[in-house]
Amino acid sequence: MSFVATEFLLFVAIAAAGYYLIPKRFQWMWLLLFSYIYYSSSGIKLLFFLLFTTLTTYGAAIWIEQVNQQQSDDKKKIGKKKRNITIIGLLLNFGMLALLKYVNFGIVNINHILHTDFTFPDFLLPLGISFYTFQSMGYLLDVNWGKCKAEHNPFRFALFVSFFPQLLQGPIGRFDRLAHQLYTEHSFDWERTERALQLILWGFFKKMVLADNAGIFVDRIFGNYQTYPGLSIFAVLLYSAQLYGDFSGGMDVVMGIADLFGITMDDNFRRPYFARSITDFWHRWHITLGTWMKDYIFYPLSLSRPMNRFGKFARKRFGKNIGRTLPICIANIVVFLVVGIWHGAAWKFIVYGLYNGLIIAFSGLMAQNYRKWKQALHVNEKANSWMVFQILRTFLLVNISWFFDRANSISDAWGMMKNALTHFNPTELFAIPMGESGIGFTPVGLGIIIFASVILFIVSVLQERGICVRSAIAAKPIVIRWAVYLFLIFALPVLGQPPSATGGFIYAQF
Amino acid sequence: MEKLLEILEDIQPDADYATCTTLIDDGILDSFAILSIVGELEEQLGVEVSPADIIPANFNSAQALWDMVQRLQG
Amino acid sequence: MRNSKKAILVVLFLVICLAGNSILTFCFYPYNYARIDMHNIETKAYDDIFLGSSHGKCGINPLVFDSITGQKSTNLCMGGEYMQDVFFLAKEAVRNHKPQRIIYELDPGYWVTKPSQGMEYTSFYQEFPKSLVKVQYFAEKIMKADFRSTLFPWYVYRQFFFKVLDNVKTKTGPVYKTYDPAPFSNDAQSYKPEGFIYRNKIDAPKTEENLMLWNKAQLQQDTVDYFERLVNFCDQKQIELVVITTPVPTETYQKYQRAYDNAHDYFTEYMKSLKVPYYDFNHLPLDGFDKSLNAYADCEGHMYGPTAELFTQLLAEYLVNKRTLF
Repeated sequence: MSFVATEFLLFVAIAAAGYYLIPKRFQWMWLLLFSYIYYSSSGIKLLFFLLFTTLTTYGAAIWIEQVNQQQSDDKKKIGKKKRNITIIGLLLNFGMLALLKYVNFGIVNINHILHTDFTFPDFLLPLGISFYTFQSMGYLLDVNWGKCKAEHNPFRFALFVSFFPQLLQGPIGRFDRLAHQLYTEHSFDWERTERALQLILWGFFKKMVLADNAGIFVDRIFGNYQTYPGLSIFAVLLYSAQLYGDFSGGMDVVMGIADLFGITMDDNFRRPYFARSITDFWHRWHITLGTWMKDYIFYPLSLSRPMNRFGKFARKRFGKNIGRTLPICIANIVVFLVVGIWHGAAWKFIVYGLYNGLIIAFSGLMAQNYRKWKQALHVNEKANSWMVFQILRTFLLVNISWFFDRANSISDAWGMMKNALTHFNPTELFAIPMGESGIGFTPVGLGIIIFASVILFIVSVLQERGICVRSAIAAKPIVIRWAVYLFLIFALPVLGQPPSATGGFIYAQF
Repeated sequence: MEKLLEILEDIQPDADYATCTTLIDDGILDSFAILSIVGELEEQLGVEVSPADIIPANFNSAQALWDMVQRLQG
Repeated sequence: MRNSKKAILVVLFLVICLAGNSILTFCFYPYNYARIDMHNIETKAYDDIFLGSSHGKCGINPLVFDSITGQKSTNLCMGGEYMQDVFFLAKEAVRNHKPQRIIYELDPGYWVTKPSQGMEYTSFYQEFPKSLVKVQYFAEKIMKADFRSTLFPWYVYRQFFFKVLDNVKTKTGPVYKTYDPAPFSNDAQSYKPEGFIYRNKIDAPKTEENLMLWNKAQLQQDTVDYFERLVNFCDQKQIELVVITTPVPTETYQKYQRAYDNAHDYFTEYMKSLKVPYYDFNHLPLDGFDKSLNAYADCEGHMYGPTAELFTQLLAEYLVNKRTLF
């Protein structure tokens, strides 16, 4: 069910209403039922994959706990057994994900290199497989490391894996923060419901008014970049707007829906375009993916024995500073390679990941040097001008990465970047028709994009300063509150774009 | 403890390790710094830190770090 | 006390939204000839009903058809009428008065694309009177639509604010209540009795703008499913189902011959397997019919009025004589 479909709104309304009408001890079961109904709507046969991950992870976690409780003096043996069970669980589930998502890519490349002609059936990607697989594997690793206890009730565990608001685009939750919320009893709360509905409305505003309108230009220019050489810069800026509006808007809808049930999901966005460095950017953009990578790949990889040995070698070879930083840099590059691959089975995503990884790794290696240079140049790190410089610099670096993310191929990305440096012609924008409304409405469309961006910018600045905009509005007199809500509600049809045949949220394809 | 403070000052100077209890929460130590610290702890103090130990509770203050080191030294 | 005050405020807010929405629908949602088409099948009995795309709308004149068959027919084709709409229109027609035959004008382009949720998306649905068929139509089509199409049906017309006064005048005047087709006649075309759109020969560039070519790789399973539901439905109700494809201009056919021939092969095979008679007029002889671009308003295949009337005559002769297909 698409988030923007009427049936989804009805589905959520019924789920939420029923949740508070039934006896509280059945609430989590109600959520489980609705999560499975939601999942089945994408195709009953695809339930197999969800159940596969649920059962294998549930089983592996229980087994690990049993092994752990064995009376044995040989801690190492127990540890090894636990590790092996974990590895089986990881291989089964990530293997399934790889099979469905990446085998075709692998085969295409093998064929290219070896001039062979292998084929592999094209599978339909089960809904949310990237998200629920990562979330479940995080749980398995947490159980292995003793960070959380295994869940013994298979149905409760099934709810953790399948909780419907987060299936489509995340956030990737953690068992110790999410599970107990899913299982406790919740009472109806007017204020919380009101806040949730406001958040959902705001999310749709970002998606429909900003992202969809920007998307019209982005699709057109990235689809035929040679036709619009003067628009590369605009294409990538509009994509910045579209991706942010779409993804963070989708997140707001997800969090608002979860909020309706009294469940608080982890933040996934924190005004990413105000980031001061690429590292900071990844603490603000798709936060739960970043923290997942950090906790389950970055740290374990950095602290692994092979990496330790490499670290010792590097210290001898390159000295203390580089020696201790190099293993971390390499682990970081691996992490971002995975991030890149997570985005899709294409070389451009690998480049995208590497680009981010190399920048962070490089700045890690140069950290001490940067400190020295800043001192020598008497840079005041607390000055506003320095902060603005950092933000703009990071925004530029991020936009370069967007070329690789959005362009149809690596060569297209290069072509567009070349154009960005050699051509600049904003008037070409007016040759792009505004969907069904036609070219006459292109200026209006651009105006709407600017208008929505300004609103978003103001709200973001306020939030960055620590002001809760929703509370501020809630504190205003009723006429103003209602004016804001009515504006947002009617902005969706008036300022939004009717969906094309490819409508829907961008991240829902993972 | 002094050794620990030396390590901290070397990796991330300009922080108040004597009194600060929000080194992680306030973003003073990022993941690169954390791992560098862990690397030094292993190299200089012979302490083996596992991923499960890398939680804010163990890194938010120099004291918490020292407690963890002592625990891991056995 | 506090709870009931909250509840009252919520209800009041919803009332404001609904009221505003109704006003906007009244002002922006225009008088559409789908209203006349629906009125036809609600109030009159027909032997033959044409369903399909805008090619059929502009290509088949029911009165000419009737003059040869001696029966009564009506043209419910429309641009943007996808298989799902065809199916529900058929159901609705049967609910009022069962026709003897349904003639489905098949445009292969409609089988390889998804409908866009624009101006035509809810045209017919809005004109359906309340019934179980409408409920089913709602559940299968409108529920899956973007919630704005459902809750704010006026929004696809939002850019036509300059027409608001006209809309209000039309809807409050006699034209709307008497199903007068006069507003749909202009220099380029006119709405003729029984749903036929007569395209006038005007001086306008002939484009390929909306041409949708057949591409088997993009065949939509939804479309196939609804077609088979239509076949079963007609079978159940003992309605004869005939499928036709109107001819495209020779120039277009030659330019994209591969696509048109592939479509021909696919549908001939497919209709044969379902035992549904299929007439692809790109491949059948049409005596005295000019297939050149001169006879069409555009490259994709909308016929001028006189062309359409000749085509309808030939179509009727085919169906009456049931000239051999294979």
